Amino acid sequence: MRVTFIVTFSVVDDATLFSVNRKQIERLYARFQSLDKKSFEGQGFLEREDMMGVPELAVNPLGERIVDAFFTLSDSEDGERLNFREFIKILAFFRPIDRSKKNSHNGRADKLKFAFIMYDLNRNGYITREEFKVILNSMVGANITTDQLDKIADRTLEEADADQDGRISFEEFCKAMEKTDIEEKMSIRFLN
Amino acid sequence: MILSLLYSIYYYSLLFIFSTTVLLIICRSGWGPIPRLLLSLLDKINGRKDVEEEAPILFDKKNLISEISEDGEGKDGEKMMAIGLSLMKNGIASIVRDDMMLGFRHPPSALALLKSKSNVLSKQILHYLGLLFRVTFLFPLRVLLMTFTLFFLTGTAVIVLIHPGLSRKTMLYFGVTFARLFNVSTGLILDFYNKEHRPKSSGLAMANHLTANDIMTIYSDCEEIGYTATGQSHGGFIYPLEAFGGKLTPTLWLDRACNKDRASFQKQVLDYASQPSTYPVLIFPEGFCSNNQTVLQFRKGLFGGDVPIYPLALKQLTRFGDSFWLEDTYLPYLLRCMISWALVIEITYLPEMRREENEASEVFAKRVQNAISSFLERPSSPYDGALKRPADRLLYAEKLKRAISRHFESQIDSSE
Repeated sequence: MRVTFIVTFSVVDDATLFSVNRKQIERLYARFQSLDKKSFEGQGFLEREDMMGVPELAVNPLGERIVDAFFTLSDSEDGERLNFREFIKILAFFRPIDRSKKNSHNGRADKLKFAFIMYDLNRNGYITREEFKVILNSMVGANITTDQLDKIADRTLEEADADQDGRISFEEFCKAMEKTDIEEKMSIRFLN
Repeated sequence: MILSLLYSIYYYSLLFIFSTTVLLIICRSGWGPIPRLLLSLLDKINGRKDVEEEAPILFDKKNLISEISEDGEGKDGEKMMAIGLSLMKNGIASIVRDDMMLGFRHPPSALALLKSKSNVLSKQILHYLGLLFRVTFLFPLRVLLMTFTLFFLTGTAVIVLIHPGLSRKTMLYFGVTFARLFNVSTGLILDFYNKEHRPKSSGLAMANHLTANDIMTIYSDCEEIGYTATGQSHGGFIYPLEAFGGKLTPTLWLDRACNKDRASFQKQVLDYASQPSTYPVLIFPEGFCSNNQTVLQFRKGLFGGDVPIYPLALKQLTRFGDSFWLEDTYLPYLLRCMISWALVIEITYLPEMRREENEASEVFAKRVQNAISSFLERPSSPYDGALKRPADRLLYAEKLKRAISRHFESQIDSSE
């Protein structure tokens, strides 16, 4: 396990990207191993079912979308396997933004990119009315009628669609999120 | 010749340790630092130096329903985006740490641990030698002790029944001695810390729940006063423990209280706890046994009163044996405990807490839960233990969807 850490650290270029210390990386590695339990020794990578097996994530209406975004953003060739380096890289998107550092802008962009991919079901770079409807439907289930769902999806689109082309691009998405406190809503602060 | 010599050594050392242990306990004494020294010897043999037990990553997390509860402001689009972000944050957080099942994860089985050591032959040999020792020596010793404990329990319960006017001191002695005998039969090695905060008068003593034997574990440290137990009758092996143990210390039984009506039982407990002469009531607000990796959400039922609360934090060191109850029934669990090296538990008494004026019971419950969890350096779970059951998780998922849809309802009404 020690050898793997050294390799991981050297592969990850900008170690200051992570505001996690060594102990936290060890704990994250233990977590990674506990998720990777297909075979006894572990496969050394995670697949989608490994993540969907997390009970709290399975109960989350956007659980599948989150896992999909996770794998989409990873660097692996087939997008179906996640090794520890990629696991940490994507989790690092959710580190608290350090405003004193110059890359605080990138911190915000990373978080928004993840959110955008989560909504963009077919990964064509745009979020359409249909995609909003699907996401909204998974959030509310049978508690809202299809008509009302359509209305809400329409209103959501209108509010953000600046160039009126019927779909939301990444720029329009970021603009719509301007007022949101991304720092607070999308970061996880480790305590130890 | 050699065989009969070995057998004599075995037989007499077993007998010696058994009788010495019983005598020490009956005379209110104990083995002192010897068990701990033996454990550190074991650590040295196994080559473990600075052993740090694994702990979950600490960060604050709300449960899903609380997470989206503040997203109901603004226009529809803003609401939808806010809810999406909250769900996303919680989802990532649960990939790092899943709070619904964290308290119920089973430790790796003995077989699994053995396979992982398969590369090192010396470690395997050591493990099997240790297992041989445990099964042939420690286990019979503990069975002897448990048999004696049961006789002791029955005997003292009969004495109490025959002589109803026994003094409190005597009854306390019976209770504590039974608890200590029981503990030593299950292989428990206990340490108590911060005894200045040990409860001295009536109120509610609240502890996190590790095992079915927690009551005996906690009771064994009583000196001036004991605890009032709350009971729910179980069958099987536990029945005589409860039925007779219930004679040795005051017990409040849930089954007999007003047709299992929880609310009136809670009132009964609070009234009882506010009387100055009663023993503090020992409560496990988690409602379920957990594996010590988290503190499950405390049920708010008994936090609405004005009685003092005495928090107790139980922490186990698992490398000599894991006392988390994962078996379906009690006897296999007891068997596993008696065959392990030891169950090492540390209990710390925390300072007394009281509900503040106008503090809601959920808020107070969370405060006490956090006091225990931050002491243990474990996450304070935002979920009730019932969510370990898949059916309850499905219900929770539906509840979450309803909570989300309520955010959009007002807008729907106003637009039609």
